[in-house]
Amino acid sequence: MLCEDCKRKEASIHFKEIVNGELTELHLCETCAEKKGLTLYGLESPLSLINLLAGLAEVVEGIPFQEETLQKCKTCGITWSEFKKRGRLGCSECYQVFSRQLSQILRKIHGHIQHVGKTPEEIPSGVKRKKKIQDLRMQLEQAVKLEEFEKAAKLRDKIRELEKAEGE
Amino acid sequence: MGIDRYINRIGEWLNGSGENAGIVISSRIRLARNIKGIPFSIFASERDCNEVAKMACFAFSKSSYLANADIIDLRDINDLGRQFLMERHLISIEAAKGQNGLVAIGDKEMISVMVNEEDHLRLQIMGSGLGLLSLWRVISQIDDTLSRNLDYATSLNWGYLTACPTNVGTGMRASVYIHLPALTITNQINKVLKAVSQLGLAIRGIHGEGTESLGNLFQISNQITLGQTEDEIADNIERVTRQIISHEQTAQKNLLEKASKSIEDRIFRAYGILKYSRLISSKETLNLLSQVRLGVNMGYLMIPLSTLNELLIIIQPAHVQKIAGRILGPKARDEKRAEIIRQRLSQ
Ligand SMILES: [Zn+2]
Ligand SMILES: [Zn+2]
Repeated sequence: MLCEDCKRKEASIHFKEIVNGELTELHLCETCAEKKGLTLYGLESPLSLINLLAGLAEVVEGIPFQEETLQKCKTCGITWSEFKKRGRLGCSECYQVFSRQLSQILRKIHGHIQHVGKTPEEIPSGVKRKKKIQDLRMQLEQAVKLEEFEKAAKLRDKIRELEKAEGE
Repeated sequence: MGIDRYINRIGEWLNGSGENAGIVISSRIRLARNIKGIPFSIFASERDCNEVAKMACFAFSKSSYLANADIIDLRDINDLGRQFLMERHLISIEAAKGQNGLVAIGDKEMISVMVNEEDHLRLQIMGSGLGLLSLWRVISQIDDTLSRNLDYATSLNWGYLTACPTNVGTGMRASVYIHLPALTITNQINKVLKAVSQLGLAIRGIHGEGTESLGNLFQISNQITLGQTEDEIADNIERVTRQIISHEQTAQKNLLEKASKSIEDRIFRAYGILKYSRLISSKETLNLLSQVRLGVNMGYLMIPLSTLNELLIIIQPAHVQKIAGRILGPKARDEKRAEIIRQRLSQ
């Protein structure tokens, strides 16, 4: 058996992955295996998923051929057929443009189509935060001018809190 | 020069502390994150990548964990250097091959962030022993800080958007790196791993010729990233890993009771070769280190786990050459490797 990477030397190291009782294998020569790090710990996504993805993109259903070939992401310029070739999307906007195809694919890969983990929306973004701090500063100035000291103290605390949160 | 300062150090994640560190070498979590409005790294121009790098470095400066990180532009590093960083698990294979990559390495090599890998950011945290949930707490906090200064690409339904749909959702890949010699010796390993693989996890091992795996080392990681919370993912792997550990411990106990002399002999022979050989391949080293590690777990040998963990890293080809201070062919590497091992084991 030849090495699947260099396709020249004999494969002597066999990388095996089991998912749901199914075995996926990658056969490499010693040189190529060493290049990937002998433990192959550097490998990111499960092999089986990469293989699965390549097959899935081919069989997306219910999208007219015409539409599929013409659809193009305006932001990054990639088409669905380019995604099929590389298995990678071009930018985050692609998820909107190809949402019909992707929801089928995501369901098959993950068995779910709804994210339930954390979201960054829980934390105001840096831009939002800066704007908020500016707003509060203006209110603070106003409050000081009007000698509303209790309100000013509260505002000052709030600003400090936000500024601190920006650091960590 | 830059990365040479790492040659004589070991990452804290190899120090042999933590839950079940005799069996679980390390735990690791990676998070994939992208910035809104910029093409993903493979489709991004050099200018886009530089922009991402600039934004990322600014965000790092606001995080107490990363403000003092060592920032290495991979464009300044040659192939050997990149492989060296990959062998230390600080960058991925993709980053080692990539074009405009950058890596920020935190204190003691526990935390690192790859920039312009497949995704704009890949945050990583590693720890010794089994401990995914506690690693998650830390990396999530760093992620929160970064998200205050970076506009992450997300969607309400699909969570964090990534270059590859296999990572969408949490963008999280959690894994443990586990050593299972007794289950292998007693031929139970396939049964155990097959059972575990039914629980939505991916298990990987590397095999040489024959059926035994290289070094009896396995990696267990989550298969899916969408539809489970990060806590569920981490907790699932931890629970399954504890079950595997208890199987391994039982198998070790049985070996001690039933075949103690032959096992003891096997362990000391392995130790003898490692201690005195003059030429040794990385493949042979991994297999012998496995026997020696088993010997430490069973109480036959007294060698710090940190030494055995460190050897797993520094016997790899780029490390051998970095320690030697020059490029070496395969034969010369085998000689230098044997010397490094002898030296480490006589300390
Ligand atoms: Zn090869
Ligand atoms: Zn796009």
